[in-house]
Amino acid sequence: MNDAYITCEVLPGLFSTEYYVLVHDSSYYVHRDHVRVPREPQTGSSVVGQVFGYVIDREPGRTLMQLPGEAVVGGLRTWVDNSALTAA
Amino acid sequence: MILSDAGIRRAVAEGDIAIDPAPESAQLQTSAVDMFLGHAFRVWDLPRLATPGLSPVLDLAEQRFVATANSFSIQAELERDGSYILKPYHEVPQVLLCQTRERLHLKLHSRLAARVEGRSSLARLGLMVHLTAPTIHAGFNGNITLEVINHGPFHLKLVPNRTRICQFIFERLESAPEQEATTQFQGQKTPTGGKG
Repeated sequence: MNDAYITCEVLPGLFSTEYYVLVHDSSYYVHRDHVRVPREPQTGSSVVGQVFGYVIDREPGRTLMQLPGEAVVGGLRTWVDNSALTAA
Repeated sequence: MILSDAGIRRAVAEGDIAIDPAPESAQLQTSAVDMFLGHAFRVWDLPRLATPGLSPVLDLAEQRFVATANSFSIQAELERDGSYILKPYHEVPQVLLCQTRERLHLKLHSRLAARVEGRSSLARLGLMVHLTAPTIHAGFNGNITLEVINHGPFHLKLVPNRTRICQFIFERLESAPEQEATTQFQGQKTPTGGKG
């Protein structure tokens, strides 16, 4: 699995092209094409969705993921529990 | 190493760089590609921040940008033709947030990074298009957000699809970014179900 979807919290972005996603303690602006949402999030009312990411490295139980967007809090790469991943 | 126009064309043809909409020949410079302004503009709500008696201090150790932006940024008021007139900073101390019309995808395996830079013709008028954050990393896929300030004397009319607002410069990395497995990206499905 080179790529995967990460379960995340999703909020509207600043622009209509993007969403704001939170993965653990990190957050990102990511193009909407890379985010799956069950319904449209509203300002102040997030939804649980999935964001695309590249698999960078693995350790037992967790995977280092890189997101294809702009980091707001934290870096572009973040460790994610394997339970939060779905194959892309 | 910075890619030349020929190198950029080759990287696009080989799928290492995707630019949507595809740049026309006239957008290519010897070592850069000009990008046009997109349609969306956001500004800080200066009248709200200037409320009499209000003295806002933003604690950078505590603030969360998305909350700050949601609370204090608004859609810019546009002209009838969809353009935005950016006043000189000395008149209105505003940072305009906008995006490139073009969406850029740097494939993770491409060994490429990019920088967004201003254009000299606009710089001579006093226009800055980004604030100290020019790097676009391999793997990025989206429109580029610009932080625009007018330090010149003119009121500058920014016209979507017509104003060449910035340029992308592409640089070759000294090695491929680390990734878990040998990459077999050709033909992979993107999140939207298309070809990567």
